[in-house]
Amino acid sequence: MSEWMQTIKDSLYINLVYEDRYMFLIKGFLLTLYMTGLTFLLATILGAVFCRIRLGKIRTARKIVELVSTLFIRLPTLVLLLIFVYLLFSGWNVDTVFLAIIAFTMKAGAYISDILFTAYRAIRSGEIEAGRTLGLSRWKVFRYVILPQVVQKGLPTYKNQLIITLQETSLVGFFAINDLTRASQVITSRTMDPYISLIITSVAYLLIGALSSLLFRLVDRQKHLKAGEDYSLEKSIPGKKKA
Amino acid sequence: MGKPLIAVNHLKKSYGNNVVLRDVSVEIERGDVIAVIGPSGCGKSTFIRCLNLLEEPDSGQIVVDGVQLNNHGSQIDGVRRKMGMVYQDFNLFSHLTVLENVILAPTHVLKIPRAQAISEAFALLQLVGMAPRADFMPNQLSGGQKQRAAIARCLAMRPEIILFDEPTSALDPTMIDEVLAVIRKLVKTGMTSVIVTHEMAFARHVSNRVFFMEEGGIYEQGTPEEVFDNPQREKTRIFINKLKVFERSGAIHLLDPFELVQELTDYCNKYELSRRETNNITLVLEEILVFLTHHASVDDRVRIFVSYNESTGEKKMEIGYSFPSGNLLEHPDFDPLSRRLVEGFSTGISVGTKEGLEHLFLEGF
Repeated sequence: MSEWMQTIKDSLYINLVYEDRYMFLIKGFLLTLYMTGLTFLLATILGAVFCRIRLGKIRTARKIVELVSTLFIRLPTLVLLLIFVYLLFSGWNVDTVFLAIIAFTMKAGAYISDILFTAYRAIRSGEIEAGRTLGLSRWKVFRYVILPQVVQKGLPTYKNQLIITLQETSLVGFFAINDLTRASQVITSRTMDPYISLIITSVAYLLIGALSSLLFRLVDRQKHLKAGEDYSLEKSIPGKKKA
Repeated sequence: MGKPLIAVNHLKKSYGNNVVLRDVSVEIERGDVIAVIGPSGCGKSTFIRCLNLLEEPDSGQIVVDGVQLNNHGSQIDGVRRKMGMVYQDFNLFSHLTVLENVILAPTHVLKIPRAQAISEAFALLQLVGMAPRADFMPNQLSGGQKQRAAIARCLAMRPEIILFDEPTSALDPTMIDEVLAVIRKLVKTGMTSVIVTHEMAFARHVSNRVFFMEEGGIYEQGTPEEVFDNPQREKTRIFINKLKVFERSGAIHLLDPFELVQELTDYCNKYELSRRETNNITLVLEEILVFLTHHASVDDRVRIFVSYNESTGEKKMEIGYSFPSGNLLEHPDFDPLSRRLVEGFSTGISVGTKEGLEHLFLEGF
C-alpha cells in the first residue's frame, strides 16, 4: 500500500513540482482561457455583423458573406489555421497566438452568424409588424421584440459553440504554442508518464466548460428574476384574481 | 362633421402585374364603424394595410387627421400611434406574458411609468375578460384569448382608430363569438373602426357603413341596410346572396354546345341541385343552344349566365344573343315543342337587353 502511495507521490513530484512544471500547466490553462474568451467575444461580434449583412438588402454583400462563411465552415479548423500561419501571414512578423485567435474567430464567427440567422428567421414577421404598428421605432422593435427572442432561441446552440471553440483552441499546439493540451504533452514527453498531466488537463477543460455553463445559467436566471419583478408588482393591483 | 379622420385619394397598389387596388378614394369620419366585406383576394386586407403603410401604396394620398402620410420613419411612427391594428393571426409577442405584451408599447413609446401602465393594462384586460390570464404566455392561450389580449394591447396605446384585419378568420367557430362580443363592446364606446370581416351578420349589425370591395376597389358602399338588403350592383348581389354563378360567353361557333351542357351539369352537381332541377336547367339550355347554333351566323355572340342562390334556392338563367332580335322563343324557326318545354320549366320569362345583347331572362326550374 505504502509502495503504491510512494509511486503516486513520485509521479506527482516529477510531473508537477520538479522544474516547476505545474507552472507550465497553469500558463497553458490561462492561455487556453484567454484564447477561448477573446475568440468568442470577437466571433460573436463578427457573427452579428455577418448576420446583419445576410439579413440586409445589399445583394452582393449578402452573397459575399454567405460565400465566406461557407468557406470557413467547410475548411477544417486546422487547415484554416495552417493557411493563416503559413500562407496568408507567412512573411509577416505577427504573433502566432494572435493569428490563431483570428483564425478561430473566423471559424466560430461563421457558425455564430448561422446561429443568429436561424434564430432570427424563427421569429414570426407578424410580431415585428405588430411592434411597428404599436408605434415602436425600428430600434425599439429590435431591442424589445427581436433581440430577446434571438437570445432565447439561439442560446442553446450558442452555448455549444463556446465549448466547441474551447476545444478547437487545442490545435495551436501544432505551432509550438503552449496551451493547456500542449503543456501536458510537453510534460509527458519529459517524464514518460502521461497519467497525471492528462488527468489534470481533462479536469481543467471540464472545469472551463462547467464554468461557462454556470455563467450562462446566471444570465438566464437574471432574466427570470426580472420577470419575477412583474409578478410582485402585479399582486399590488387591487381586484386582480389569481389565475 | 368637420374634416374626416382618414381621407384616401386615388390609392393604387399592385404586386408585379397583379393590380390589387385600382383606384380607391374614400373618407372615414370620426366615430364611423366600417365593415369591409368582399370575396377573398379582392384587396380588403391590402386596403387596410395601406392605411398605416404596412404596405406601401404605388400612388395616391392618405391623409390621417390632417397629416399626409409619406414613408418618413418618425412621421409614420406618430400616425401609427393613433391607429391600432388587430391581426388575423394575433401577432402577440411570443416571449412576453399577456401583461408584458400590453405594457410594452405604452412604457417605451408613450413613456408612461411602469406602475401606471400596469394598472391601465389591467383595466383593459378586464374589459376584454383577460385579467385572470395576465401572466400567461401567449402559447398557453386559446386563439380567442390571444385575440382578446391583442385587442387590449392595441387599446393600451389609446388609438383614435382601430383597424381590424379579419380578426376572427383564424379562430375556431366556438371562439369567434367571444372576440366579436369584445369588438361590439368597443364599438359601442364610439371607437372609430375599420373591420375587414367574413362574418356577414356581425358586419351588418356592428357597422354604420359597409364597403363591398371587388375589382380592385370599393365596388359598392352604403349603410348596412342598403348593401345587405338592396344591393345595387351585380357582383354585390352575387356576393351578398351567396349566388353561385355559371357564366360563359363568346362567339357562337367557338362554343361547343355539348361541352357547355356538360359543364352546366357539373355545376349543378357541385351545388347539389336535385336531379330534376339539373335536368330541367340543362334541357332548357340545350334547346336554346340547338336553335342558336343552327340559325345564328358564325360571328354572332352568345352569353350564358346561370345563378343559384344557396340560401333561397332561387335559380335564374340569362341567355344573351346577338341574333335574332327580340324574343328568341317567338322566332318562327324556333321549334314549337322546344318552346313549350322552355316555357313549361320556367316560372318567369322576360326579355330585355344587357351588355349589348338581346337577353332572355328565365327563372324557376
